[in-house]
Amino acid sequence: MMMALLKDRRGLSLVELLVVVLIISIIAAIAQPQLTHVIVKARAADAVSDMQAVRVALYSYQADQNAWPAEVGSGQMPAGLDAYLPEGFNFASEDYTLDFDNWGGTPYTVGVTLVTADAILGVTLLKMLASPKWNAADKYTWVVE
Amino acid sequence: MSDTYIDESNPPNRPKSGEYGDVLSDVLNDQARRNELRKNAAANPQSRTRLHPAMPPVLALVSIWLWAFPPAVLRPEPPTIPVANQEAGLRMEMYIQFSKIQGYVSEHGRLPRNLEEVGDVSSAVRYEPLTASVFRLSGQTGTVTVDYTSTEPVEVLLADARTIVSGGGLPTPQGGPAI
Repeated sequence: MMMALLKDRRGLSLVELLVVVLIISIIAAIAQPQLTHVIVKARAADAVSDMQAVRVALYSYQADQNAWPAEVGSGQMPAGLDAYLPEGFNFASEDYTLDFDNWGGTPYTVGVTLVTADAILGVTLLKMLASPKWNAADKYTWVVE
Repeated sequence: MSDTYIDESNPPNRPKSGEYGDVLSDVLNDQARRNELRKNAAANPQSRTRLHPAMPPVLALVSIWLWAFPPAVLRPEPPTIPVANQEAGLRMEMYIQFSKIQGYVSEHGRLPRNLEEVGDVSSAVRYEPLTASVFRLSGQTGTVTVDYTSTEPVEVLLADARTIVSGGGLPTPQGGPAI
């Protein structure tokens, strides 16, 4: 009885297994570009959220100090702004650095610039931001005030 | 286990009464039917659906083609910035550098030797002092090039850049970020 059962058992042959693997590979090839696109959008949304955090912190700073922070270099935290940002907030990350700009009033007063070599990330981010905003080379600037 | 005790090919007649009899009869009938199907399948090994021999190589070729040369229809369009917005962004960047240079001149009484002296350098903008008081700014991003000499009115440099960066061109989320 047991021998008969073993004889009757059927599984996948190597060729059938190969066909299954190839079909999965084709589905993955079709899905992969869309997946990459979704990942870029998620990274851009993350960057927008960082820029918004800086924007809120700048307004809070301005309300308390009646002045905007002084200009600093790219990737550096403006003096006194850390108290208004979430704990551990960093202006320099793996994908990009943030740059606080104090232009002094003409035509805009302050803004946040994201500097990244990843053009797809930058342009995706720029499309998510409200105006005024602009891009020049690897800089994506969002006007705060 | 039940082969010894139950003759599957010849199920007993249903007992005259009782639910137990009905169930037992159904089980034995089903067992007999399964045995019959199993015998038929063993007698005819070709009954299993066979793959066409060309199928694996065709699938392999399709897979290689999709991975190596994905057709445009599968690739999402890379986001781009309209040329007008590229130019407006470049002009804004140059205007900011211009303002910084003006501020430097007011403070030091002379033109800076290079853009490093006035702060962050933009890779899109090149600065060149022409005389003691005249300088040139050249900007390039993508295919757009803008040149400005400080003898020209600054409105020439800014043009309609402010209007464009304030809302024209790039699509903006409805109402902007909720802050």
